[in-house]
Amino acid sequence: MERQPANALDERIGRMAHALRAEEMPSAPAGMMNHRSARHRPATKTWIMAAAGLVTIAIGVMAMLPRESAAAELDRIVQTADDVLRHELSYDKQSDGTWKITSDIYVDGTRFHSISHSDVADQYISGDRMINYFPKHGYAIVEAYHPRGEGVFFHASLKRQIGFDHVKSVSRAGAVEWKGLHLQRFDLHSEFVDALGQTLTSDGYLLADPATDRPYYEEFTINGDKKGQFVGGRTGAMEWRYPTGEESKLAMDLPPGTKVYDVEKLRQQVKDQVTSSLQSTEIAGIRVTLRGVYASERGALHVFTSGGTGRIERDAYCLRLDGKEASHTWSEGQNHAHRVGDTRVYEPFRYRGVDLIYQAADFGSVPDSFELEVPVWKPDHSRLGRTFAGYAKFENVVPVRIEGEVLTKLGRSILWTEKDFAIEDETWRKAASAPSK
Amino acid sequence: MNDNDRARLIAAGDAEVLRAFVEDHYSSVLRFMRHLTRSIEDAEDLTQQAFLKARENIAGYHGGSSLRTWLHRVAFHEYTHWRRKQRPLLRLTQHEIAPEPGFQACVEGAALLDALHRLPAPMREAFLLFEVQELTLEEVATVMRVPKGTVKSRLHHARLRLRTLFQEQEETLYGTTACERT
Repeated sequence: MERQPANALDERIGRMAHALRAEEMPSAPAGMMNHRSARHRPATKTWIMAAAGLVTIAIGVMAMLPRESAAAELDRIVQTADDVLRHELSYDKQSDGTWKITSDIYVDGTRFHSISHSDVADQYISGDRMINYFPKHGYAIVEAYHPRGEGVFFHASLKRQIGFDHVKSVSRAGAVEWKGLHLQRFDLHSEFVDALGQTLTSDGYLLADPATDRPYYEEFTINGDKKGQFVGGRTGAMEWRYPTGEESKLAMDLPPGTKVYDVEKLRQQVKDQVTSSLQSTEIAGIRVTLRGVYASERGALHVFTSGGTGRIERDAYCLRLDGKEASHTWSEGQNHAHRVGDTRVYEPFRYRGVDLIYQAADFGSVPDSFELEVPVWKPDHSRLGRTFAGYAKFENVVPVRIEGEVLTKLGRSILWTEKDFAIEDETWRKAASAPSK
Repeated sequence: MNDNDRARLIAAGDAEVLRAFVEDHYSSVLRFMRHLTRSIEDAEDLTQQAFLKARENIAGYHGGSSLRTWLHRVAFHEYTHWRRKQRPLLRLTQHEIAPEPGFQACVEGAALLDALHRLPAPMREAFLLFEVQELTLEEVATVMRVPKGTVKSRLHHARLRLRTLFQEQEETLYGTTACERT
């Protein structure tokens, strides 16, 4: 495929942003300002209540259906199928009638493998570990996996996949032959209020084998949002296969030669090493010590030094690698910032007794060894409290390779203590109380 | 009634003005929080919390920015606190799950959210504030407490990365993802 011109992609991004802007949101709940925040209520999360309500409705619907109803039969089928290895494929129907795959996973209990059909990572989950594997780039990130919500494994529930709790009616529609299998067809009608407050309906059919209690195929069309402009008429399908002898698909085995980044181990390594003295030099009377140098697969360079003070936001002095200067250097996420008038300046943060200055930049790629030049700022009594002192030059610098959210966790330094978070809060309070410009 | 008057009346306890203020801005803030958190439950909690905080602190509103911008700033602060406290959760941005009807109003919008959540948080936040919440550059800078130039830079890099992501997706997969029947 030829590369699309940037403006075509921009147009597409613009359309997508428009879709987000146009999302309808519910109105403010009555009396919202008279209640304590939902997060302060006892553990009754709204979704649990909503789910309980839906389950109640579903049970009520099922109870009204005759004998061992089709609903009860289907309920049994989707629960039983949770306990076997299944290969699950999801598709979206395109405007030209073709099907586009949107998800390709193997799942068995709490083991999960998602196969990427794009540049997105393959993902493995097993127990409390998760691996994101980037085949195109030949590396993987290993990290802890914390399943969301009451410890329920997110992907395991076929019932959830089908949205079974939302089924309002189900009926048997006769036997059909599908890919050489003799299956029962169930016609399903579902209704649900989505997270945006829209009432949607889903109509379709599911093919299952009552003899083995396994579903094989479902096709559905979603309709009914308020304006009918987003999901109206979207048709999707899911296919379940039950392969034997393919347990290896769930094994977290990576191809030989894959670079593996263990986020927790790397974090510990950074914590242990970032105060070490790699090299020292002197600039304008300031002793500058290189403490830590980290490079990511995508070419970002992260540098920790001590000596002097922090940068001025968007100043003209950027990190240099083998003489090449980055277009932009940042200190966010590690150094504390405050404003002097319209200008934002950064301050070192103290970690294990060392005042660390963090500077990072994108270089596209980072060699295994290089000459590094780091801008140094000297504290003074000027308006911004600092002046540029010069570049500290370090030779034969060897970076530690990292990937993923190693240096930060949810945007904040892994090296921060409660004191740092308190500094951030105080800075915000001051900024919030200052007259806005 | 201008924003200063509105703030003054809310601070004085005028329930009617407060109700109108909530009605005017609730959906917008909730949308912003949902896009940031990707969870309607968390978004609702944060939105409620933001409005409560706004009511508590509205006496400190000086009128330098619009009340909407100020409210976004309060909400954004609530969000940054929330984010800090989160444990690392399943990174939905890293793999593809079949669209779940209850959480996606539009395949296109969801695809953009997925892509945005693969970007560094500052880029994502700036993009959402500017492109989706439709704040001006100055207002985004006020909300994020960064210079206008930093906002420009983040928006520029966000767009570059989004282009790359979508281009690579299209090259690797099956052609463009269109929001059919829109």
